[in-house]
Amino acid sequence: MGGPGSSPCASCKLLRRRCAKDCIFAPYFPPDDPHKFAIVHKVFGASNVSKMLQELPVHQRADAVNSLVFEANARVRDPVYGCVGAISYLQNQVSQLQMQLAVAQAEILCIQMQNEPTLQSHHQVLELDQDHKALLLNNNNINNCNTNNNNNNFGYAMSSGQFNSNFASPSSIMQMQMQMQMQDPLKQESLWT
Amino acid sequence: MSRERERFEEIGKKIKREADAWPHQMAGIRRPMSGPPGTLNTITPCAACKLLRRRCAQECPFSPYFSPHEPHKFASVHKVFGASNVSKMLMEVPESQRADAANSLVYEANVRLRDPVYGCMGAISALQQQVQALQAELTAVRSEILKYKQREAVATLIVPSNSQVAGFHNSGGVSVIAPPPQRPTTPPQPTTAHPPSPSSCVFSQPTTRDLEYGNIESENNYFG
Repeated sequence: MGGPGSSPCASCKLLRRRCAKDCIFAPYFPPDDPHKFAIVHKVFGASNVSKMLQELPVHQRADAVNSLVFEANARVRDPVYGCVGAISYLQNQVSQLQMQLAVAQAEILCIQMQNEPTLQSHHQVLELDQDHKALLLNNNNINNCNTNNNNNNFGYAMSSGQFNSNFASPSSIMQMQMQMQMQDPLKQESLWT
Repeated sequence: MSRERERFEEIGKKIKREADAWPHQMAGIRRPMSGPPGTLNTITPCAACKLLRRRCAQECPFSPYFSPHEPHKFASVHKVFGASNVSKMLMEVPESQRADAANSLVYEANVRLRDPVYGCMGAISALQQQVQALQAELTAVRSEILKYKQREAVATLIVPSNSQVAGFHNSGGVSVIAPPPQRPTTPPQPTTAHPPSPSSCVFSQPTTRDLEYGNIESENNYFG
């Protein structure tokens, strides 16, 4: 790819210039996919994209190009709100889910407090010592084997903080890091101030 | 897709309402400085013309949206999108929506500068992960509530006094306990309640977990 005799990359083709061997666009904008560069060029401009790529280590440029293409598509699809529309929608979803979760957790606390007087009404239970009570609880667990298996999954989800392995992508660590990096700034920063 | 578009438009309206105050403030700030058409803003050029060191005309496309008091706003947009691209993008939008467009461009530029590799795509991905995690946790807690209520229903069945001993045995698993004590002549007074075991908080999980996850995943395909 690049150099005299071979076809120029999508960017050099669009900009009608020679595609040098060290063209910064060539590895990421193949000539068979001209739309990719066209849309990035329209939203960000070729010189800006070139500068942004040069500021990055080589091994991260492919990811940067993919995210620039994604954002350019979003901007062209919605010229007013672009990616901000999606971010705003998701932030609203997070807020609503957090409120619903708080309500559900409060409800379960109420149920747990109500359950205690019910146990006291059985004088057989009162006659048992602490060990027998523990044994009774264990027997209840034995009677719910399937539920117990699910307990383990739930415990894992709780212990892992926010992520469950069922949702994790192969780059789960990267995702968690991104979330840690992104969440606080997004919460602190008000979109319109 | 159409449903997502509707939600999207709802959010757009909310954002527009919030942003309405901003152009008014801007208009207030700009109005005393403006003269007849064609007059240059020689007193205070907008942030764009100040950065680019050029004359700020009355028809400057940037001046209503990039106040000279907030030079960093235009600086970030200029670095990521370029002045000519910003100008083009603002002109393509109806005038009534340009303030929202300018603000969203500023936001995206700031995110891109903060994370040059993933930009807004990284923020969207992180939020999608958070939504999925919260949905899973909510499903689990609601399922646990349901289990507690079912246990309450079962407990009421063994309350009647005439079948107290038999019902207790029928609940299962109590045969290993010492022989039941003789029936007391008077019921004992209730004692202080013990807090429930911490393990009860993770007692139940839905058996339809996989199916529900499938449903959750499809909801988050915002650009799908």
